Amino acid sequence: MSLVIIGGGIAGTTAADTARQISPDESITIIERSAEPLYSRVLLPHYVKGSIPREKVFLKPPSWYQEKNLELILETEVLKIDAKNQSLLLSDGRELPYDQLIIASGTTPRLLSGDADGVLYLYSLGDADNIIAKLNLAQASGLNTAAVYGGGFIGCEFINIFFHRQLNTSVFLRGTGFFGNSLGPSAQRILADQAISKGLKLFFNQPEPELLTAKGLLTGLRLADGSVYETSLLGVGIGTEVDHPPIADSPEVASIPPQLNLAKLEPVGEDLSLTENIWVAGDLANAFDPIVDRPIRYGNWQNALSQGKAAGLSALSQPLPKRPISQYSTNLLGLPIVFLGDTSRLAGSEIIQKSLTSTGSEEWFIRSGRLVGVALVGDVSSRLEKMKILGTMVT
Amino acid sequence: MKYHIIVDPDLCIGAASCVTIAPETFTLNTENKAEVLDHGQTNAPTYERWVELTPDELKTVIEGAESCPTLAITILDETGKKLYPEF
Repeated sequence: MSLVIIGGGIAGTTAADTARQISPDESITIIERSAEPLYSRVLLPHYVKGSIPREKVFLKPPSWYQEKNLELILETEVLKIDAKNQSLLLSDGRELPYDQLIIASGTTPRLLSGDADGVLYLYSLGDADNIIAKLNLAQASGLNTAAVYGGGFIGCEFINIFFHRQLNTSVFLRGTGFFGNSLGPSAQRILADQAISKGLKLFFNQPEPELLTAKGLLTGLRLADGSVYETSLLGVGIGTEVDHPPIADSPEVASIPPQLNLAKLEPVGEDLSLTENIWVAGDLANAFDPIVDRPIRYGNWQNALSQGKAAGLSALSQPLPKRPISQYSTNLLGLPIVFLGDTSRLAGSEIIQKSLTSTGSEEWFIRSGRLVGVALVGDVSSRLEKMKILGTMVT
Repeated sequence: MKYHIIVDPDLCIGAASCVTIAPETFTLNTENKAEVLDHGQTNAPTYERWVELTPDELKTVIEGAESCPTLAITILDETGKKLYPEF
C-alpha cells in the first residue's frame, strides 16, 4: 500500500508521521514544492527579529525523514491528479501511483495587483530572508519609515517587526480596524489605541494603494485621496488563497470529479474525505467542525496539526480522536489577541460583547444557542475557562 | 521517573496546543504563556520544573511539546539527556 501526501508543511508532515506510527511498512511519500523540509511559519517573525538563528525554524532534524522511512520529494509540484487511475503527474515528469492520497498543499498569500522591490510578504522562509535583507538595506541607507497594508495576523506581525526595528510605521487598514472579519468596534478601538500609543499612524478604509517606484524599487504609496506616503518598505497582509489545485488545465479536467475542484473549497466531513481514497487537511481544507457546527476553513497551526493527524488516521481507516478546539493567539505590540473557535462575523452568529474595559474586550459568537467562538483582546486571563465551554449551549 | 520540563517564555506565543494535548502538565499564565504544572502538588505553575511522570504521561507530554509551533518546550531526563527536541 502507498500513501502519498501533497504538501510538506505541518499538516502533511503530521499526516505522514501519524500514518507511519500506525503502519511501519506502508510506503509513505511527501511531495513538497519548496526546497525546504518542515519548518514553522510561526517562528518566521522570531527569525526576522533576530531572536533565533535561521536553522532553528526547522522542526525536524535532517535525519528524521530517513529514520521514519518517509520519502520526501522536494522542489516538485503535482501537476495533475488522475483520480480514476490513482496516479499523480509530477513536475519532474514522473507519474506516481498512490493507494491513498492526502492533499495538504495549504494556501498562498493574496498578493497586491502590483509589485516592486520593497513590497514584502511573510509566508515562507524565503519571504523572511527577503524581509531581513530589505530591512538591513533600508536601514543602512538611513531610511526609517515603513508601511503596512492589512490589519490581520500578518499585518500585526509586520507591525511588530517594524516596531522592533524602530521604524516610523504607518498602517493602512482596508476596513474600520484590525481583524475586521472577527472583531467588533470596541475591540478594534483597543488595538488602535495600542498602536497609536506606540507611535504608529493608522489610516482606515484604505483601498489598495498605488505603488510608486523608481527603477523597480518602491519609493512610496499613492493613496485613494491622492496623497503620497513615502516609503521603501511595504509589509502586506491581506489574506490567503487556497493553493493552486494540482489539476492541470487540460481537456482531461472535465473528466475529473467536481469534488476535486479545490478552488471551490467543497466542504468535507469530519473524516476529511474528499472522494474515494483522497483526503484533505490543513489550511486549504473546508471541513466540518462539530464544535462550531459548520464547515469552516481555519488557517492556524493548531488546526493544521490536528487535521494532519486526523487525515493520517482516516487514510488508514483508523478511528478519529475527539477534535480539539481551533484556537489562535497573537499580539499587537505586546497586547495579546486570542481567537477560539469560529469568530467569523460573516457566519450568521449572534455576537455579544461579553465584557469590555478600556484595555480588554471579550466577544462571544453564538449560533443556535451554542457558543461557537470567543475573541479576546487585551485581557486574555479567562482563556482557559472559555476553552472549556466552547461548543456548549449557553442560551 | 522525574523529567525536567522547560518552557521558554521568549519563544512561547500562547498557541496553547500543549495545554490542549497535555492539560495535566501545561497551563497558561496571565501573560498568555505556557507554564508547567506540578501534577497534583500545590506548587504554583512555573516555566520549568521537575515532574514525576509515568511512561504514558511522558508520551503525552512529549506529544504536547511536539505540538508547539515554536519549539518552546524542552524535556530532559534525569541524566540530562534531551528527549525533546531531538536536536
